Amino acid sequence: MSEPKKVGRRTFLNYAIAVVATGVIVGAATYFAVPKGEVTVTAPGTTVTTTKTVTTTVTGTPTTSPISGKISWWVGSWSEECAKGLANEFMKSYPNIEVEVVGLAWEGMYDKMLSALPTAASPDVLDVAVAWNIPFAQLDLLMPLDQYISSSPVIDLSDFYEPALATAKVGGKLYGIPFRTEVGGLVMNKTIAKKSGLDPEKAPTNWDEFYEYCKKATIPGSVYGTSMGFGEKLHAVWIYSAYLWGNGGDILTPDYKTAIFNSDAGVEALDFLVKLYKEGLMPKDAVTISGDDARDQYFVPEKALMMMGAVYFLPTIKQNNPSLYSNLLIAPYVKQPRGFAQYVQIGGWNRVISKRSKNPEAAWKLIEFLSTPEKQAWYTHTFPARKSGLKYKNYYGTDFSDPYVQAFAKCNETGRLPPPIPQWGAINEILAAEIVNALTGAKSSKKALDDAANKVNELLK
Amino acid sequence: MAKSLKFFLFFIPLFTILTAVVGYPLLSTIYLSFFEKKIGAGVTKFIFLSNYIQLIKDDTFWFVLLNTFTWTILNVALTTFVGILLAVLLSDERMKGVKFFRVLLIIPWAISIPGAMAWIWLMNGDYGFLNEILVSLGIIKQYVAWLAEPDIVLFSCTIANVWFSYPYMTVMLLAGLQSIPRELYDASAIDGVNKFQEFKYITIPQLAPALLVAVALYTIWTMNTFIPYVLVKGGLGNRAVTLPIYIYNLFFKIYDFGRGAAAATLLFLMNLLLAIIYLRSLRIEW
Repeated sequence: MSEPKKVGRRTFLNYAIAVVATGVIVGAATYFAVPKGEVTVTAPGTTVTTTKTVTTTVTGTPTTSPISGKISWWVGSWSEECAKGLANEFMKSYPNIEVEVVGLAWEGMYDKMLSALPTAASPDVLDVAVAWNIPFAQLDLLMPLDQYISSSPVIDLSDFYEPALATAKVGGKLYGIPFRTEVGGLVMNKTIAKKSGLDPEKAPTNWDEFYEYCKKATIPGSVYGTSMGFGEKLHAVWIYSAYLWGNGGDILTPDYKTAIFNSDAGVEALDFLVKLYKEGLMPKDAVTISGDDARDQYFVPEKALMMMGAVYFLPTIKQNNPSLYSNLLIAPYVKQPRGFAQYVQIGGWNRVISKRSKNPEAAWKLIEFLSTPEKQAWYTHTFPARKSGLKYKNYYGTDFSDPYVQAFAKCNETGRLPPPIPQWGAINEILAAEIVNALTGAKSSKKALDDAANKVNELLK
Repeated sequence: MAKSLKFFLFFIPLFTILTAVVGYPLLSTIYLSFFEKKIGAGVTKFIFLSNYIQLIKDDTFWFVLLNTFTWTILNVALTTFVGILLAVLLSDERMKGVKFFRVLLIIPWAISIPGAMAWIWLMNGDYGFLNEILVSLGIIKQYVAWLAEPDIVLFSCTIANVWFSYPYMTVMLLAGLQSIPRELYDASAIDGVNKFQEFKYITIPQLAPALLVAVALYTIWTMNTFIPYVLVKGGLGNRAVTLPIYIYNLFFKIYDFGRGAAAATLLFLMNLLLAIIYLRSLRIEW
């Protein structure tokens, strides 16, 4: 058998030096070649200098300007089919503009957007979750849309839900057009309620009633009082913040400089969730599953009396368990009995234009086309962000006059925006990990929230 | 002259690819680790080793590092044990259906991550099939939420990871076993060596080079895997968070790019150490 060929030290060093040197050259070349985002957008009628050497003109009357070119529109894969239909419709109205629809899976969607937006290959139009809009804008990745909005015959800001608009506002400027909005509520299985000796037509309104309902409905190993999912961090904080706000607490001080979720109100809120978990009123796996898992694995198979849900739950429940669908009760979420107002984090999606878009005019035309009440109603999986959209038809078959949908629409009034700062994602990460530490007993609620507050304060410095 | 030009021309594609996919990302990550770069924190600032010092002072980092070592050691030990066992069994050509079993062996590897995800269901605390089996065998008395118990979560993830990575180890070791000259066993049989002695004095020493390569590569993969992230959404506090997941969180959840780069550089150094062991085991002279 022959001896394996030996690579000499000298040869190896030569290879290594060559690779490192090229790395430096390519790195430097890339650094200087990548446009630094010198995008200046001024008033209509003036010049817009985009990345590289592209220079375009914003006209005062965009509805009549001849705009052409190719643009890309990134959407959630769950909306791709509907988006393609609308894009075709758009291209018929604007034959000089070609739209390429790209569907992205939820998993990794944020990372892909964050990675692509600063590059020259950035998409033009993006559907972004409301929680991402402000961070992206503060990272200087998005184009402010005020100049387009002010001259648009389609966009009437007074028709939008105010909390939805707040999710796109930074420093008084709008960096996105909301097209989907939703606020969670309480979903209850009336059959389990009846079997448990509870009034199936009356949902619990406060923590005490909620606890009593859970106690009465829970049959160990078979049925739980409530199903929650703390595995996905956004969802964990979504649940906790509802209890925190419902107890008169808040996440940060009004200037967003200091964490205050570790106040007595915050600790009491977390203690309540820990009590539900430790007493087995929700599944043990609640700490590792997502909100959708909590729905699909426990609520839909009728193994849980209640859960915090949203309007997009309805089609899933209807499809997978029609008998449950006909026995639902939907109500605003529970609050602490001391009389605080109840809030739930607002969810939804906004449409934005990348600051690196090579064709912002065409991108805006597409956004404008999609922002009519009718198109918003057609495209949304929940509610349109425009109030007048509720009278139109929906691609997914949501009937906005349906009593369940109407009940969720009432929950929209309890919507609240989490701190609109770029660090929000990081705060979610830190807080959710400590919520799980408290639930699993690794730390007391006070210790967990204090630890989270210290980290968050460090982050906010 | 012509020969060296030809060498240079052939070298260009490799050189370009390595530079693009290894050189540049590596250097830019190391470079970034000396800067404070956070979302919303304004201008990037040169802070030299501060990111590394912050990491060293952070209890979470040490906790995660301990998780990473526990996870790696558990997985490497178990997978190697299962791999050797199966490789020895499947190396016996006289065994009936050996070829069929060798094909069967690949299945967990082929279905990979989706297969590992099935473990989420199998280990569910309410209707997991694993609980049903263990209760019916009398091993446990009541159902266990395998992925929701902080004290056992890493072990539970290990079971799933071993399930879909043992085929790699078995295939590598099987190849190693098949290269051992048959004459050695024949000679030892004449000398009256028993099966255990045969395994200890012939199989293991002859298998050692293949074993070292397989273990070194598998250790690198295990250290860098995201399997706990797939199985335990959110990481169960930090109980199921290993270094790559921690780095991912620093970059894409906390947006502390500088500290993320520092942690990534440390992980790179650990992997480099393993890579050196791997290269040595290939007998590449330095």
